[in-house]
Amino acid sequence: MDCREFESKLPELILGDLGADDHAICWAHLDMCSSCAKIYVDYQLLAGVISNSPMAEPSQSESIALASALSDIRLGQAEKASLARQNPRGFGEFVAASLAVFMLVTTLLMLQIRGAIDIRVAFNGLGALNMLAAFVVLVFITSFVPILITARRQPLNGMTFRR
Amino acid sequence: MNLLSDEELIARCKNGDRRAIDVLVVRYHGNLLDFALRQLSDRDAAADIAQAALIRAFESVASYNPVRATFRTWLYTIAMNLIREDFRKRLRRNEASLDIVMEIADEGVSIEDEVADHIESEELWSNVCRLREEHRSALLLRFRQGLSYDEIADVMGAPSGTVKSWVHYALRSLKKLLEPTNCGG
Repeated sequence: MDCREFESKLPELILGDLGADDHAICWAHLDMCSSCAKIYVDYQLLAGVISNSPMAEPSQSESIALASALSDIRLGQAEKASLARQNPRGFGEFVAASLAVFMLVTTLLMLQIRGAIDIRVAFNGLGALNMLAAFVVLVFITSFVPILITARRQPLNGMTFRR
Repeated sequence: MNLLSDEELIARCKNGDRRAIDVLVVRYHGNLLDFALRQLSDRDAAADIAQAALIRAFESVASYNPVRATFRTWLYTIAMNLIREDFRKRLRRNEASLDIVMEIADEGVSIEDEVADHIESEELWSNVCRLREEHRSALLLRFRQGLSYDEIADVMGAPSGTVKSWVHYALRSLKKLLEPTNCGG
């Protein structure tokens, strides 16, 4: 092990994070390298001050302010948010739009079966362009409207939604 | 209740148990305050960030997934994002000094024993604030907050090996900053 490699392992050596083999190699290097031994002492000193300096304590007013702010949080809202996250945003609108289209098609088929209307005649009277336009409107309603609705909604929490 | 793990307490929070929140607040409020304070050197801003991190965490506790990260990692990630946000605001207001990029000479001079024995805590922390943001955060999370390298990697969104390098660079830069020539000695 050279000095550069030893220095890169110093933080782990100080924290006792090194495996037994690396630990032994580092100590063997320390025994024969006085400059690294000096660096080790310096780092240990720094690490000791950083680790052992007293932690900042929240003041009474800060604790009271936090407790007050937390008391306003409704855990129920969070649970609601959780449920919403399980179902993608706009899922409800998408299902509603799909259901509406399904009911429309089913109604038309029922009327066709009962002979109340004749779809073939209706299609014959409809031009190709009009049929295409109807199809586009149908796709728009089932796909883009739910997306537009959900895009206007506020994010469920401040961290997961980026504009 | 105090003996329960973070994850057990979070499960209780999700069921609406407010006592679990109190325990987690006692467990982490000081740590978050200290973490923010050592980064910002501004007590009021640090207190705001610690409070905001806890509020944000409990507001979205239902979306917390213990499989993806430990609660501690998740909490520090929120705090880290708030600290970065605060730094950006300060930079926009020209209140924060830019990170100092330390060029370390290969032949680093060791701290003199007599100086090392008298490292003032205040001086140390003011120099910690001069470290690059990622070096400082990694150093504080590892040595002061006791997070593992893997946890820090999750918090900072960097590979574990990179985090180890940052901690190493932080110590090296700090040592350089505290050397007599940098102390005015």
